[in-house]
Amino acid sequence: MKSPIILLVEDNEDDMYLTRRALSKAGLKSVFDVTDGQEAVDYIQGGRKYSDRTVWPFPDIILLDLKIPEISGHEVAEWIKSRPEYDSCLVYILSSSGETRDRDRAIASSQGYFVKPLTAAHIETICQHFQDTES
Amino acid sequence: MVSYPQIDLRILLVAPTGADSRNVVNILERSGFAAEAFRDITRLVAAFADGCGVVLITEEALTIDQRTVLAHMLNSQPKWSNVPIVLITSGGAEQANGDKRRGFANRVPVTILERPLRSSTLISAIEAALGSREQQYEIRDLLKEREAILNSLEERVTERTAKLTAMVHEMESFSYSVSHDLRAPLRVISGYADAVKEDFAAKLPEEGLRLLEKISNAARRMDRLTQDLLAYTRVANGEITLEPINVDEIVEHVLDGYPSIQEARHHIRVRKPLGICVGHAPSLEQILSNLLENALKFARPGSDPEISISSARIGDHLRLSITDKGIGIEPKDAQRIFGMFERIGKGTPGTGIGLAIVRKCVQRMHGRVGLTPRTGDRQESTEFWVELELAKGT
Repeated sequence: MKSPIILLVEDNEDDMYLTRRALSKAGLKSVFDVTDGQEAVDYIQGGRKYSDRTVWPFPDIILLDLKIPEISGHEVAEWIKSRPEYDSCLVYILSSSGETRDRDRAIASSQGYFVKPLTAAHIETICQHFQDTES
Repeated sequence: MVSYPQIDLRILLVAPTGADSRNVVNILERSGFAAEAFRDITRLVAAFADGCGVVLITEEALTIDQRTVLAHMLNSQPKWSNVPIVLITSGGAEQANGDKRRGFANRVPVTILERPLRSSTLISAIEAALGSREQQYEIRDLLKEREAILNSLEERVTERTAKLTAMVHEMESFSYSVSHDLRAPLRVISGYADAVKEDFAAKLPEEGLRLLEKISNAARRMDRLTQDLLAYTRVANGEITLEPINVDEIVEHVLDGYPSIQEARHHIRVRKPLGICVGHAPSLEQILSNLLENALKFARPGSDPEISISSARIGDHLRLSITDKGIGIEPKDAQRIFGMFERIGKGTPGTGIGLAIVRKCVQRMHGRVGLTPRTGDRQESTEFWVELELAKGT
């Protein structure tokens, strides 16, 4: 199986460390990260400092924190969903809370919604989705 | 009587002949009344709006046209006002068409004075009329006062409602930020503690691992606490609608949907049918899951939990009971136990919010909740009960 390229959008240093650690334990090593919504959009578009795709490859999976600066996680997810050219991208929302309104809005614009911390079980679900879409 | 410069108490009079009107005005002014004379009723009407204690009319002024003008004026008075009328007639009135009221409507307070007119008769009639007019003014003032009070009340209600709405919004954003921001560092604490345990277990002495475990547990407990507090504020502030609900379905849902309850299902006996009551399904679900989780948690050490769910009709209410044979509760603690953060006994697990949530849910469904310690034949048991209104027609 091809190892997926993951873009992690997270502004909290600790959460970044813990999520990266969980991904790495699951054997997912191609993880790129940005720390706000605008950078996420730039990265996905290959704009500004992310124009070199050999350095910043287009992601297969995007893990989006909800509360990030500039453009919120919800908005980024909705922006991705509105663009057919990014259909191949699997988007997952990570949130601190199980608030119903967050969950409902996230489910409408992404493949899944997980309450942090990202666990081995969550990662397995994500990898399963990825394999299904690859085959 | 009060002093008369007040325009409210002036006497407006109509006498077509100049001599008549001068004569009457003189008599009135000499007795201390304020009076103003007009040639016809049309002219009087214009002055009436500025204030009038009594309308004094001579019969000659009441032509058919002027009658209509007067009737219109009288009908246009505000609700509190019914100005007294003193009518001076030429006498022989009783014979005149047999109409004692001279064509005035029943509600109009008319005093008829016959010529030849004595001043003392006129003065006493005017005094009586002004007396009744003053009572009308009292009513007017009371009505004004009442209106002012009502207006200020309405303003205050609007103001308070706005304040309450703002508070509810603030509360909502507060709990939202609690659930996001307060929990985040807790997650990080247990995340790092777990990371150290996983990555460095081999290098740590047993005591170090034990202390790490304590850190994780405390963080998890704090996280549980924030979640329970949030659940409580949601229960207390969220909108609910009351409708008939099938208790059997909700119990089934709780027994299946909560992992900790589901795995102990064989210890829980349900006496069906439980019935239908009026309530809010998610609230009842919350109540049942909290009570069942408690009953499981507080089983007698060393023996299996024995829990039953039953119902009984009490008047127009359905009493839903969850009875367990657990460690029991001292009667003195029976009320205290539903309070916020109350935990009975040392070292018992939990946050002390579960039963406060139960009580809040029950209150919001207009029900009652309580517990009854029972001394049975073989073993003591504790019954937690909730009473909710029965659905109509059941």
